[in-house]
Amino acid sequence: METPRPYSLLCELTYRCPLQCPYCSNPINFARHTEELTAVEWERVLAEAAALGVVQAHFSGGEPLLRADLPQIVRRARDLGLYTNLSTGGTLLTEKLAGQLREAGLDSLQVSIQDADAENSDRIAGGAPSFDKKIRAAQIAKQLGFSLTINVVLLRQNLDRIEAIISMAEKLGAERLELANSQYNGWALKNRAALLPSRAQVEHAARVADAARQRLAGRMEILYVLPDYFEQFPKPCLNGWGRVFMTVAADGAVLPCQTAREIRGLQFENARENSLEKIWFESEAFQKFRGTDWLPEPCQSCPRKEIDFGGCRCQAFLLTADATATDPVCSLAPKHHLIVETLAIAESGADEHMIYRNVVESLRLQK
Amino acid sequence: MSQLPDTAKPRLAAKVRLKWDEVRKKPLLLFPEGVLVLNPTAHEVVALCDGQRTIAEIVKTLSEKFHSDTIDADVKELLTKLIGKNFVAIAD
Repeated sequence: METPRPYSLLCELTYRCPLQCPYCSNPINFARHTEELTAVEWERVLAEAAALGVVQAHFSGGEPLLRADLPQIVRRARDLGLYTNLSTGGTLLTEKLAGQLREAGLDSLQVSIQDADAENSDRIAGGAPSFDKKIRAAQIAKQLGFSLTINVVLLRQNLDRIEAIISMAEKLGAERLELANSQYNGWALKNRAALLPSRAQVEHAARVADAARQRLAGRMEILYVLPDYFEQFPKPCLNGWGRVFMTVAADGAVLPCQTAREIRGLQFENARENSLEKIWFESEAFQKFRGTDWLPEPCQSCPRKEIDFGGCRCQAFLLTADATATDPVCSLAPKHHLIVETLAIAESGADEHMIYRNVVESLRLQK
Repeated sequence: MSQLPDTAKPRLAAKVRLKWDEVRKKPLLLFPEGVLVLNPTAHEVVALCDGQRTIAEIVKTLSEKFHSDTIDADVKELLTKLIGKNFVAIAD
């Protein structure tokens, strides 16, 4: 079969961030990767991506608004015909900056908020108080005519306020509300004993989100992503490894997914040294789990193998120490008991302690 | 959803862009978290959703272009689907 070309490029412009969310998808050792690509290098990366078949550039971080050259980078992406999407924590958005991004042609703006309750949102995000600034950012985005998405990562700490979260997004005039349960890789895995919800919380939130989706049809789109721990089958990892999606990290590392750095033993090439085309088609990291030939049993003979591709590679590695294992969240996986046991513990209550995502903890954890 | 009125003026939702993909030689709808590869019929319809033309005008244009009398139902079925997925909105 011919190797497909990627549609989507995630540009993690920086690992720096004023927030310290304990579920962050950045690698645990982010603090070691400090040599950020320059704007000129990002412009080259975007041009290579467009030639390779990428049609969408997602800008995130860390906090992408920390890059003073963000409008320049967005403008280049638009000039190349790419759809541009920005994911921000919002605290640094000013009217002036939003105006520059609008003028640069940014297509879509996503602001993350951690809860509808200010105090709890601030507690989850860590660091200096951020809730009021996030609300302000959403208002600025609306004033400037952006298509606004509110992103809320769902956790034990905010799931019970799902109704209030939906009405907050409604009041802000969001076109879209993304309610994604946390994925327990990286920082979220370190904090799993605190963050993992109970089944009752998850099921209640799913019912509320579903009712709201019908009530708000045509006004606000609601995306509710179930937590894979509570499902029978795993999520389709990236819709297939090295199939539609690639990430360029802050330091230029080219990754099949933003958490792939968690897989020890996998070597990643750098956009400073090789073209995206060469890395996509020829690098070991992208070929390693591409297609379905590498799949172990019970995946290899499973009728769902073209649907979920054996699940999440990072999760398989982090939970079983084997990146080629069936994702343990699958009810058919040999190591599924790991999930069952973890869920049983979550039913009996949660750990209060959270490790915040910051430079000090990053360096401590990677010693 | 009830039947779409002929006088409605469909347009792409604010977050959606139509793009001709030069690498794959295919029309695409782009939106915040995804891509939809359009078939040639859907491309014809979406390209006319400019918030100015009514559904009746879109049907007329395509009927003349393709010399067909069955386009009305096809266009409305497609638009109903695209509206349901929030890709297309009805202009005020």
